Amino acid sequence: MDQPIPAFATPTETAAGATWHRYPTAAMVGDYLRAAAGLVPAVAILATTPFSEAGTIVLGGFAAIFAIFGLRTVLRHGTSLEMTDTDLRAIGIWRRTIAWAELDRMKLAYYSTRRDRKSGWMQLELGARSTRLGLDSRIAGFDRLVRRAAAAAAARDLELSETTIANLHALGLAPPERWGGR
Amino acid sequence: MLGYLVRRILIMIPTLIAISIVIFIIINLPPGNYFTTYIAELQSQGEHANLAKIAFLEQEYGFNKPLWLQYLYWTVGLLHGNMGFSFLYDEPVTRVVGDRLILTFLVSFTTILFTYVVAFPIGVYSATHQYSLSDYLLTFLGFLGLATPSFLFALVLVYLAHVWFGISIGGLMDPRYLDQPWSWGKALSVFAHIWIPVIVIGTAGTAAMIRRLRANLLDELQKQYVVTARAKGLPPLKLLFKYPLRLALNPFISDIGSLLPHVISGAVVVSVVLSLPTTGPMLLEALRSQDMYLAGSFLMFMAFLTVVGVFLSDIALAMLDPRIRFHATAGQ
Repeated sequence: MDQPIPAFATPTETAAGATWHRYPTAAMVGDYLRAAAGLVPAVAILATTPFSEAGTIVLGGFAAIFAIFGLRTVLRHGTSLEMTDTDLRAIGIWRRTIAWAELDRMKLAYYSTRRDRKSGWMQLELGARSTRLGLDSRIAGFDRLVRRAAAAAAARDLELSETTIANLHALGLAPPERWGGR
Repeated sequence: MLGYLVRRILIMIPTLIAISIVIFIIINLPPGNYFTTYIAELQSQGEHANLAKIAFLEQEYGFNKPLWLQYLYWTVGLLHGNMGFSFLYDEPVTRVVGDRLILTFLVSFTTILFTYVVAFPIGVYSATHQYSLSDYLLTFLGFLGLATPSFLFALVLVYLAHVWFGISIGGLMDPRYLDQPWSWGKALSVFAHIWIPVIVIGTAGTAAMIRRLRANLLDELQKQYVVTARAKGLPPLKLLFKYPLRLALNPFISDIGSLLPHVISGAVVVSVVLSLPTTGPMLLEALRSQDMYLAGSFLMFMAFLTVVGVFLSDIALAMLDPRIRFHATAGQ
């Protein structure tokens, strides 16, 4: 079977049984470069060339997308996740906590820019009440996070989308019987 | 999703640069340029060209400069929204394309709408009533539509309209509205004429879509989860619309990107046959006369539409069904 997602890095484990998850710097460098590759030319062209209103809106929109992406990369790089039996805590620039007992949303998506759908990455979105947390498969120990989230979702009897179930199967994280999947 | 969006945008930029280089090289492949073709044409008619004016224009538009420099001027102009000057029409390209582009979009958009509106119910019906008499009839009509060249269909319609009703169905509006500013009368005239080109251009695409939707849906309907859902007593319509139809639509979403340029370029011959004032015949004439800026800028515009279309369909697909597909092959 093809393995379209690269192997996951190992998280740090504490004596208390919690695990620490961080985005490796090497993975973040690519995102910083992507943000710069979009933002710098867009801003430079906007600053030096007179454009029509529509052109300014389009180029300004692109610049805004890359700026938001750069900001998100900084936030991710400066944030660590601590996973315990009871909750998942984001510690760093942007602090958030998702209690497993309150999990009310879980979505696992897979994205690839290639036509053969290889070399892609996964995106896990978790929610509990008004708190939302999104992380991608480059974070250390992504598989452990997904496994724990899937277990919490099963315990909470959450309805998962077809896509999420299919992606859980693809990760080899056998979901409970009620999510049989396809 | 934001990461996907950023990566897709970054892929678009080198793609567009590569396309612009290919377009520029192909347009410059034939020997000479618009002016040498123009001089040769005049000489063949026994007339003399104003060589001083031509030399001035060649100098003005950089035809005597190295190719890479000409490319640079052209692309920088495009970035500023300046599509160049049409020597054939003696007008800026934007003005030449202007009205034709609106009419082309109108015809193309209506054709796409026609294709979807007709193909979807027929495709779904054909799949859910496989091997019934109506399925055979619709399949036969589908094959007929696929096998008939659009220009031939156009010629047949023109002939029948003339012989049976004594009317001309060419053009997109009454001749009195040609080159007139837009008005309610002109718009109504366009809507009264548009159905013929829409049917002619859309028939082949509609037939192809019926076949594909039928095949995709049949594949899905035979899967185990559908059998299970049926066995559990899920109402047939709910079952059909909730899962199999949604999954059968994925290839169509990924096709949206190539639909618009395909409809525009595929309609060139039909536009010539039906005398439609769209961009197709204009592009053909620009390529024949080596009107570099008109042909190049318009081709680049179409390439831009394709790239943006593929981008939008990829985004739509990623939003609708972001799942791993093992053993996926190119083209899926």
